[in-house]
Amino acid sequence: MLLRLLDLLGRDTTGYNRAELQFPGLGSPLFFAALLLGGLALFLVLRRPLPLVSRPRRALLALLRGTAVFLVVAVSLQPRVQLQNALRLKNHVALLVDRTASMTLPDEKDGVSRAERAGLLLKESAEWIEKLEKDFVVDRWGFSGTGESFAMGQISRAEMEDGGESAGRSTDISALVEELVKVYADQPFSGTVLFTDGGDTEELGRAGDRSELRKLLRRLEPEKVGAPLSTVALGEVEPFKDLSVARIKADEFGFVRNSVEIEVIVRAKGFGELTVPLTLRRGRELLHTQPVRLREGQEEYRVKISFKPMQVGEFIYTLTLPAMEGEKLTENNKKSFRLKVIRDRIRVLQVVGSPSWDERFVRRMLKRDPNVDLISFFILREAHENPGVRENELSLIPFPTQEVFDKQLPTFDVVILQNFRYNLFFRVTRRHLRNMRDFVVEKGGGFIMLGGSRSFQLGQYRGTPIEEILPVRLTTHMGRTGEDRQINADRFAMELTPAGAVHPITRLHPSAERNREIWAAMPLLDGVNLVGGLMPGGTALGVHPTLKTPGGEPLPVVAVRNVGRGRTMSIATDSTWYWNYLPAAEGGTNRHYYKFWREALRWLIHDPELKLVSASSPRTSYPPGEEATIAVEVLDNDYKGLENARIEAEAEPLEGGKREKLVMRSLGGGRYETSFTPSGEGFYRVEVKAGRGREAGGEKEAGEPYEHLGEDTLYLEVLSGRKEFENPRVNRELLKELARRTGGESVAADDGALERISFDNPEVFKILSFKDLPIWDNLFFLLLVVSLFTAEWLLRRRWGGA
Amino acid sequence: MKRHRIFLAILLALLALGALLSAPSLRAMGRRSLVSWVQIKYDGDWNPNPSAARSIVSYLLRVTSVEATTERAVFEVQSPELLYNPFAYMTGCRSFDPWPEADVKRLRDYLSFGGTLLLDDCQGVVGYGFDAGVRRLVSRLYPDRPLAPLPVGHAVYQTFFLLDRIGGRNAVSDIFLGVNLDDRSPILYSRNDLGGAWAKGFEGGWVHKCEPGGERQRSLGFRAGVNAIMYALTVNYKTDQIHIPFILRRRR
Repeated sequence: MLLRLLDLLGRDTTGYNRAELQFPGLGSPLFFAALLLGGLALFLVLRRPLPLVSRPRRALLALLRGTAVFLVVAVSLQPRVQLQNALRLKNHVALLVDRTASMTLPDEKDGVSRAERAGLLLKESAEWIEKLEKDFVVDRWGFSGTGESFAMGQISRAEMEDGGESAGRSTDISALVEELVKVYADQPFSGTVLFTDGGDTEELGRAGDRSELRKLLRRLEPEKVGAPLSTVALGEVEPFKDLSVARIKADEFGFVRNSVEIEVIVRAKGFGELTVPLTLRRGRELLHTQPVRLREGQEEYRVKISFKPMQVGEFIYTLTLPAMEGEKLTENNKKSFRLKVIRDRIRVLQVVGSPSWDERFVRRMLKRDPNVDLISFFILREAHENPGVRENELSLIPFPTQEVFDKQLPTFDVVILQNFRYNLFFRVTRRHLRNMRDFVVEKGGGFIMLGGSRSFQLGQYRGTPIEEILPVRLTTHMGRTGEDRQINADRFAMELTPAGAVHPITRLHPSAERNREIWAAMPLLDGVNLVGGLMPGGTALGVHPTLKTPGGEPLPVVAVRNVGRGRTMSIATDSTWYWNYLPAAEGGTNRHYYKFWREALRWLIHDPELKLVSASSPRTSYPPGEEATIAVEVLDNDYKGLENARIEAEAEPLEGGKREKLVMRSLGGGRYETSFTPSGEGFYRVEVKAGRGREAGGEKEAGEPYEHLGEDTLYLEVLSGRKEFENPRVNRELLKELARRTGGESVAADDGALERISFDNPEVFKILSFKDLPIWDNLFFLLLVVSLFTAEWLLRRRWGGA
Repeated sequence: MKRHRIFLAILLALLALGALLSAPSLRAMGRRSLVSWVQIKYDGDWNPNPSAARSIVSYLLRVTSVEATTERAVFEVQSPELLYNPFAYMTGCRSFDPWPEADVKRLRDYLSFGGTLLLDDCQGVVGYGFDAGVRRLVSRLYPDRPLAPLPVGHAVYQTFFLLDRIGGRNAVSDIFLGVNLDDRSPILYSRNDLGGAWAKGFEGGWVHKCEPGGERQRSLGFRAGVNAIMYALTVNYKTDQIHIPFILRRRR
């Protein structure tokens, strides 16, 4: 229209197909200044009384003034006509189809999967599609997730209609909305149609109710997409039979021997009134069974389970529900979580048969350590000792044998029996000794027996469950006259064994030479229990310089042993307190005594910091098919990185499968690396063992003998699509809310569903070239304004005005 | 005459058996592993009651599970053997000369790193005699930690016997004085002449009368001695949380 007018006025419009009236000055400072001045001028003029003239004349004067002021303001708008060579653009419409694993779930009525349903619907709506393609640019997208990241990619019409592969392991609609905002930020965009079951596995899917969902969507601002987002819900609204461990709320770490509470969301559909067992296992060990009572009409159950991890470390726990009859999907009946079990304070139980200086210094050392929670029981009086006073004049309390050795024992990390003859006291029986053995062997506890006239053989432990866990045997030493000798009262200097020279307990200084000097300077000890040789797996750290065991080996004074899951230590003397008091009172240091005991406790409780071999991975979870990297650090006994370490590493799936040997490559400085590609989903255990010297069994090989330095275990999770099946229902709420907030439609995937979805199609042009024709910037405009003001002035004068 | 010899032989055999039974366990780990009653010898009146040690240790052995030797050990403060015995007893009736600085330092180290000293004034007059010497010595040992009363709630009154007062030959004070270092009291000071209450004559009778409380006061003196050595051996064991309800109940 405007272009035609310009043609009529004789302007050259060749090469342009569009003309547009524009006001670039609108909103400029000049415009506001003109508006202000014009307004002011009008006010001043109107304020002055008009001459006493007839009404038509007054109207003419007002018209002239008003038009003149209007033109002044119009000038400030800098009006122009822009001649454009413009291209009309089509608006985009995005068709997005869910490509995650839950889309493979078939409908009960006809066995058609959700993905296939989307394809069918698109095929059936060919007419709607054709019309859409005529008016819009139709972009076809597939979206899915890896569990860790979101992915969206363009697909062809055929791919969209044929169902395609739905293998994504997570659905993240928040990420989808953010991606749409990015993709269509600079394009004419009319809307989106989202084909999905709404099974969001991330934040939106976890919304507890509608209000929480609305809150999340408000934060997400789907309106920013800039066009309506319509949703097509795929899948049956009516639930099929399904029982699932939908979600586990658990902290990343818990404290050993303290209750860890987890919350499990169990979902059940289609089972009516029923009670099902929910089991918690660590590996194959059953830790807890919790009955879950299902009720008609209730889909979600919050189950709280509390258990006490008894060992420090990182573990995988699995919650399982039974596979029920008629259940189509059993993958979601099991779910695992990882828990790092750490230590709070080291709980030590010290049981002493008789007050002594050794007891006094051990207790004081433990009591002053802020990392130790010490419970002591001293036998201050034996049954035959009669103080000759009434009981209430004594401070003695009955030793709570049952409470300590039956109930509370598992709450301790380390038990110390110090010069304690068990069968003299308080109904301590072999059953209690068995409990102590089990505490070490099965529960991974630490145990120390300290010497004295009531310890080892003299404590009547020979042939008891305690002997089974000690690092030393309790065999008989026979003297020349054939008598049973159980103590040697001579003074002696304990000698470190080669194992003792490098063991964390007796390595009091990183330098081997300095360590030897320290031990050589330690005060002599007084008296030793004549224990037997080492038990299998026992290691002597310090031995008597002259006395031998009946087997002819140097008599172990300090010995250690790994027993089952726990560790034990024996100190066959009651005079280690000399290492504390004598040097300190003589102006030296007692720090070696403290270090000896501190390291002993750390070793007994499997302190991870004492590990010489540690394995790690940059990630704790990997998508299937992705290579997992394992880094291993091996330290020598002096805690320096060990080159040329002998490392054996294997990876195996926790749920059974082939063990894979891993080959290490050295990165230098004691660091090694390997990688493997997990074969399937689930948790994998990577076990690493390392040592120094020649390989175990390589007896003919020259060089240093093999020395085992340690091992470490690492758990990796290979993410699965199970997340997708945790809650396989169609999330209509989410889809409706998304559509409502963006002005779109939410429809079910039935006949004619797509016909109900329509899009605005505003004209959008792309300007290829243009020319501006200013309207105000000419002599005619200026003369017009001046003429109007002049005419008004002249007429007013003529008609008798001022 | 022959009957007299048989009687004498039986008597000697019984004495030998008694000595054997009263001796420390033959299976002791070493002589030093037994708790010894160590008395500090200094220039002055260090030994007013020579028989007190055997008497109190015999009582200790009779009533507690502590493995101790009845033989008193006497050491000067510079003796290396003193360090093998983290409990020492020092008594006297009269004042004593100020100790050389080296001896003060030695005793300070002995106490500061775990030793306990039981001081016992057999005269019991504040500011005179042994008391004057003790106060001078303590002020040099711990210049910023003066002797202070140890109230009845202190662990030393409940390490074995529950005491609300200490006995002795005299009854100058119901409580110990002491020096507090961190959470323990390395010095316990009685002004009641505990040693005088423990001392026995050659024929087994008491050397001194306990006044004004008589035998009850003597008994409390023995109990105070046992508690003092138990305190050295167990320190604050009886203030552990597990003991508190029992002790409070019994003290009611």
